[in-house]
Amino acid sequence: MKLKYDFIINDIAGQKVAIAVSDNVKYYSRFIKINDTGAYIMEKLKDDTTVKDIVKAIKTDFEVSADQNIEQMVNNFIEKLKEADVLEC
Amino acid sequence: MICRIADFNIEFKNLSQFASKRFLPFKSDSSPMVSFSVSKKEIATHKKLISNIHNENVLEFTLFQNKVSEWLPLNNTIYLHAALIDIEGTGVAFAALSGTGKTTHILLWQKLLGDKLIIVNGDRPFIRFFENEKYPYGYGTPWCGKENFGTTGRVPLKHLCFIERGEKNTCIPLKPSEVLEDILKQAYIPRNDPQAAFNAVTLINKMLNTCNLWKITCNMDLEAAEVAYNTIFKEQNNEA
Repeated sequence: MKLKYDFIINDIAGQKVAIAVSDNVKYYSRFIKINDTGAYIMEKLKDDTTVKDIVKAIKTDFEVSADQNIEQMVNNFIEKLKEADVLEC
Repeated sequence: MICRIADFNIEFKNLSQFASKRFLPFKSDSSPMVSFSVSKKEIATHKKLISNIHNENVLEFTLFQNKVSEWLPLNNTIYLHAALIDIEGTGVAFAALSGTGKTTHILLWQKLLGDKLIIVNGDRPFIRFFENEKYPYGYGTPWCGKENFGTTGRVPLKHLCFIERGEKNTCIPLKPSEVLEDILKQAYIPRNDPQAAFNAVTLINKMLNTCNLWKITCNMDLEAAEVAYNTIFKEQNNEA
């Protein structure tokens, strides 16, 4: 799966926001409030990837404690992106 | 035609009579820093996407605005869907969704303040940021709404108000975080150029952190303008 559109990520009013840069994107898909982890996952989703690969990348790039359910976290964020209709699977 | 808009010299090519008339007050003899043209094909494509505008001249005029708006953030400027007024050198912008009553509200302010007030732009001012200036400047543009209210002038933008209709008239200060959803609807973020889109968000953020932000709930009585004006300018006089 990968993102349908190009996104830029920037801070506005203390909130990180991902904004689709495309002529064809609907308003509800255009702005997505995210956090640092969301920004990292969106970066990975610029290219075709899987939940498994994203989880593996997070475990490699960040110090993750044993009790953190990374897969659940990634799945929750992917679900948010699906609701915004910005993913192509 | 070369126009000076927001202190930029911009060339608009192959204009219809409709667009020429609206650009005319901004006409300049200087050499342009950028040129825009709109093709018949672009008008035809846009016509299919926009259901509420059928006139091709109006579509051409709107497409010129879209093209300029894509370019502005690369030059420290954004376009805001708002009505901008100048009250003795202080700029106040009123942002709201179409149909909320921006024009009705600024006409109440005009009734209240008379000659002290100039309508700089009734619908789509450009907001330009300069180094070493505390406030951005709001500029008149050719795109000034169906009433055609506007000038070619500019004013430091000190207050940004978000209007909603209500029975009682109130005016309360807001924090930037409280206007996030609204500003994303009212400020234009480019759709074609990632760098321009990124810059636009940076400039919008700067505007929210620089200007005083207000929520105005208003009806259509003169009291609506009195309450908002007294609240905003009392605050400003206290600051001075």
